Amino acid sequence: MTDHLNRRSVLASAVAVAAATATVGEAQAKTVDVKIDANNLSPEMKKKHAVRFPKLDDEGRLNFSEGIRRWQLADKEGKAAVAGRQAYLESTGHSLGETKLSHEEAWNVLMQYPPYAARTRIEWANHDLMYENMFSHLHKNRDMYLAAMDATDKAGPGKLELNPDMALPEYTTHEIHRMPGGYVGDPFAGFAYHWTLTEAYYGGSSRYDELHTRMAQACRVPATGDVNRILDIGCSAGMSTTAFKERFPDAEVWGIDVAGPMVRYAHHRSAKMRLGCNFAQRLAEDSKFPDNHFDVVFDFLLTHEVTIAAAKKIASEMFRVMRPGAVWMHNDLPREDNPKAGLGHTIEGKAHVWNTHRHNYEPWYFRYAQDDFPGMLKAAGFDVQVDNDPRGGFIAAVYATKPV
Amino acid sequence: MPEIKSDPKTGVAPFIKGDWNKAVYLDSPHTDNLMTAFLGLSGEHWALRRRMMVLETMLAKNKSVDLAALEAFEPSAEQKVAWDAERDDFIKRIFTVFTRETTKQTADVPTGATPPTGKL
Repeated sequence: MTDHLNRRSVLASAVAVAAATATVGEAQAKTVDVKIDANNLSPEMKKKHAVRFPKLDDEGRLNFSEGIRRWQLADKEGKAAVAGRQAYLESTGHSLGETKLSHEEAWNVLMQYPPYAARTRIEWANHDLMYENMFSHLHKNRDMYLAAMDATDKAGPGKLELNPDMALPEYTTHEIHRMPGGYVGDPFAGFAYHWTLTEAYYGGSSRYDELHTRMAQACRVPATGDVNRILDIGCSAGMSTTAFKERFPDAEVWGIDVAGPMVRYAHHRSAKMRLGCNFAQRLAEDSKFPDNHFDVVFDFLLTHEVTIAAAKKIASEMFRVMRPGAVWMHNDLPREDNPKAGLGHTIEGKAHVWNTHRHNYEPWYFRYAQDDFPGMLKAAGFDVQVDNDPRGGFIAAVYATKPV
Repeated sequence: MPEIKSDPKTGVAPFIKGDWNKAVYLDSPHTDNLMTAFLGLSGEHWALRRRMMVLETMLAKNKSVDLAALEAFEPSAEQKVAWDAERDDFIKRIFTVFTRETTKQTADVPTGATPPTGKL
């Protein structure tokens, strides 16, 4: 097994940070700002970000789940499928416009249509199969993976801080995304989360963490141009945290997450990449950082996984730890009244929200989809702008700037 | 309720078990289970088929196979594209049947001409 680790590394060993396609430029002031084209990554960058499995068959199983994910998305959005759903709704006396049905009722209406029900079954069976195969592999090789994390816990580079005395709010301990054990309940949650995303769930579109590189590269910087400290809240496996460190190699970069297994893996991954990001098990709503400390704050898909009360606290806490002029790039799912995102208060829109909330097991998404996080940012004191050219796929970035 | 604390070494903490694996989406739990098992078997089939493609590649090149080299094999960029296309075709052929449109058959057969597609 050790040989496998050498040949098919748990994570790619360090390669030179300066990628062939990267150019180092001066943004403003003295901040080193490395430009990386996520759509045209160099072989060195791909090697650095690649995930490879010790066993060929484990790789093949995840490769199958990636294929199902690609098929399921294409099949669902195909012209014939959309027309079929609409014809079904009309034939059963339902409106294609806004509906007064509840979200659950809207989902139940569509689940009476056999193609929709079959697609839903395949979607979630594939999701469960993906995690089952992943965790099966990780636990069969648990000693190897635990030893790999042990080796980097203290050696770094970059600090790792676990906080066994911290009380975890109950809302953080659900099995979000149907992932067995959730973010907190399995020592390999970080491995499983990162590897299933890159090797299956993203359908091959972010195999080398391109999505995170794209967002970090697009992130605006404070008007003064200096970026000395960056905070990634709800960092999970740390893909965005490392993308920021790759862009700003001289900055002090922190990733925080309530889940110990996630920050432990994030730190391990960053250390293997020789990037030196710091990770801490902390709450975004109680980050423990000093006042006016960070130049840039980032979050990706965090706020729909917290309660509304926690979201409000996070907005206030970030206002406290950001220095005047600091920028927060916030990226999360669209609200349910956004027809551009395929939502809206139609039967299809409401069914999608219910399917995500109840069947992708996102306990806090239902409230989030109907609430107004940008409004919470404004209430906390930020100047808020929506980016017209987002980099997170269908997710629009919201910039919150702390007034000077 | 006692406070939820995590392990100092691994960071692992108690969690709330969800009910996501108890949902029924089709007309009976048995149909759901069959569909899930079929998906799992298809995944095993694809993993074996991919392994066979690796074997064929190595045999064609070296005339022999070393087990360690087999496990470490990494397809070329061209192979990755070709194999993923083959996988997508395999999945589409097998799984599209589950999402086909169906109608109740009556005594009347369909009428009207359909333009030729070039394939049966």
